[in-house]
Amino acid sequence: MKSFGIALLWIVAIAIALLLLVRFGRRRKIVLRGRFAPHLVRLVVLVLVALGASAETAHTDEGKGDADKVGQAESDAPDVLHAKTIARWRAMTANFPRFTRAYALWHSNPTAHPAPATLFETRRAGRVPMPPRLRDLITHESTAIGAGEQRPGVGAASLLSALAEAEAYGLIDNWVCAFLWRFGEADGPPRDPAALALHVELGKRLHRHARLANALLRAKAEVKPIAYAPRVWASKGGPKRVVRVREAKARRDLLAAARRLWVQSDAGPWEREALVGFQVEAGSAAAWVLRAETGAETSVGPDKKLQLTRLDLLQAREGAGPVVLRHTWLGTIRLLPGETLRSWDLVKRLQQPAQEKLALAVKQALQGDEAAAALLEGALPLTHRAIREGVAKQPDAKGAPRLRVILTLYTD
Amino acid sequence: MGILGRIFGRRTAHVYETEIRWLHRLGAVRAPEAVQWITTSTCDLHCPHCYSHAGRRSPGELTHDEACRLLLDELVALDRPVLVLAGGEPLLRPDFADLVAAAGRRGIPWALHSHGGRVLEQLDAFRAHLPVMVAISLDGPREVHDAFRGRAGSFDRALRAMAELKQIGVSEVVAGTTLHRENADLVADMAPIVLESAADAWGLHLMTPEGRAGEHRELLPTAPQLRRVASFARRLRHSFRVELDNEWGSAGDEDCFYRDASFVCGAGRFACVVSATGEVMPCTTTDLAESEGNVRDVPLSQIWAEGFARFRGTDDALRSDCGDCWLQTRNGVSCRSAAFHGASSTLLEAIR
Ligand code: SF4
Ligand code: SF4
Repeated sequence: MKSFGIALLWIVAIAIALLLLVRFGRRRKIVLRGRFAPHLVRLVVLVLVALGASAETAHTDEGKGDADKVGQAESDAPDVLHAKTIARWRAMTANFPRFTRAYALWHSNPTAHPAPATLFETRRAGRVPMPPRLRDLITHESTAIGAGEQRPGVGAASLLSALAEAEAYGLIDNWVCAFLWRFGEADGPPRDPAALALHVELGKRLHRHARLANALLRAKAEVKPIAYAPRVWASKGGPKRVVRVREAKARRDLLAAARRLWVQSDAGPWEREALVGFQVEAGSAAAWVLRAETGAETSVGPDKKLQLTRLDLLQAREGAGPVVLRHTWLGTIRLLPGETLRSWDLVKRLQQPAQEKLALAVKQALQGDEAAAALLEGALPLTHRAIREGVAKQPDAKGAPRLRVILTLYTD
Repeated sequence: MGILGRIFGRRTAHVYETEIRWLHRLGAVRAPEAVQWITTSTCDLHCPHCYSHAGRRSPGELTHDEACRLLLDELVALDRPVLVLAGGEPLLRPDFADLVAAAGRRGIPWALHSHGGRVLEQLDAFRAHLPVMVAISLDGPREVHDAFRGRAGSFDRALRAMAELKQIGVSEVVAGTTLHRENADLVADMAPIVLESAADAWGLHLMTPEGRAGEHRELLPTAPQLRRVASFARRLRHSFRVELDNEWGSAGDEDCFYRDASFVCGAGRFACVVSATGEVMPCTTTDLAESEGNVRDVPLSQIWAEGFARFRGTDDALRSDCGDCWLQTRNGVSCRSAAFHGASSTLLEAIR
């Protein structure tokens, strides 16, 4: 019966489209109005687009090669992308920004806004089902910062379990990535093989989380929102059957789209911004880069260039000599055999002349010097701390607002 | 959801473009979705980034009677698109409340772009026929905003206007920031102000070198600024509805990270602008050479049906690129490439 109805609708649509064509044939310019004509035309155009008979070729490369990748996407998509997670993610995305908005306000001025920890106690925020481990970390952070201390260091194992729990709650969001990653600053580099394995895993999982979040955002943009008002849920009888069916269908579509789009999605700014590049010095042992994106370990020999994201690890292998890396502006960084550094650790390895250069650049950037600010922005993993300290000392300096924007490119 | 719904969701911009061009070939066009009216060029402020040279009233502005006859009645004939009242400052038109009431009587939905300084005096007009959206300008933190707008207290009035509009039930209040060289690097400082305000969203516009802004090209934001702001906005979207507005152009399949709906330039395609004196333009340009006619001479519905061919066909490369803001491109400031492409190439230069 249903398919008969659909077929009938199609026939009517095509008949009306033909009628319109006859009208067009009269060569008078017409404006499509009324309740149905525009919808029918849209229907015809959608069919044309689906058949690939569209007017343009210029913008069609957007999905190029997707078809080949779809099968691969389905098999590669992480297990966490399943129906339950999607249902929870939908609920989370409706609620979570209320919390992150309040958090952002507190973060901008901890003395003027309620600490995120207290937000959990209010009725409004209580509707955000915060995963307990994440909630503990938020409380931990706000207590320390409220007491005028630094953000406490948290080990990779705890961050990993908080991340896994957040994903199980359907909280797949780039905010979570940045929040957890920031705890690494006060932690140290991995000192033994077990710690190293955890750090490698953390980089990979954060990268995967960002990619998942981006795949879901793409899927959400692709799958239209369900057309019913939230107040439908408030009726005593609960949502009507038609709404339940639509909701379930939208979830299925979202899941299918996210799994398909997974292969086209990257980790966004985590892969493309706040990078730092070095050249391995002549005579140095090979540097090893442990890529968060692929999990691959790549060796980079003397005179070759390497580029690190915030999630990659840099290693000097046991048994080889020290690794010496040159940064064009800030000079050399040394790693002893067996050492592994995270993005957060690089700044601690800068030598005295580099520290002086940095201090000068921050001073100039604070005075509004564009070139100095650009230099700082181009090497954020090496410069973020000096920028933060400079801005804290002179918050009203001419160049401070720009440096505050630049800082977010590393920390958020 | 059916396959067609899915196609539309995924390729909205592409569907729009295809539809506009196929219809054009067949001698038809959809009714517009929005018609912006520069209600007046009167303004009590004197911002250097003003796209419309606002200040004094222009000679020959549409009268109230003309507005009702030549504009509102025509909008009814055009299926009641959203009437976007802009200016100058629309609230400085003495007949503002009557215009809103007249739109209400005709069932025309309306939206408003305002500096916010006069909103409190006109709340009854808003209550009588609630707008679908109000955008209130916010140029920076208090001192920057007031200095740029040339009037102390503007910032506070803008924030108060947002709060009152929310209070009376306007569903969508947007803080609108026109980015230029002097405030583009203030976005991190502005974010807490916007987040704390009553605004539902934050629209980041780009200065367009038209009108008075055309005399201040030195204020156009630089390419690195655009990249920084785009990246900042993408991150802030985790916490708040911040959107890069039309002038930025399309980010392609990454649009969803910067705005709620995918980009397609509507100039002459599903939107147009009526100037204070009745000229019908594709967008908010002050260049009369772009006019498709005057509503005093030809009915708006006829201009809409028969004009704008250059935007609906494929003959003119500049005007048929629906992926970039035509207004910016015609002024030599294509923002798409500056904002969304090549971020890492600058970085690579820096590390070499
Ligand atoms: S930008 Fe707006 S407030 Fe400023 S002068 Fe122009 S119309 Fe008036
Ligand atoms: S020209 Fe620019 S501002 Fe005007 S409709 Fe097109 S994108 Fe929007």
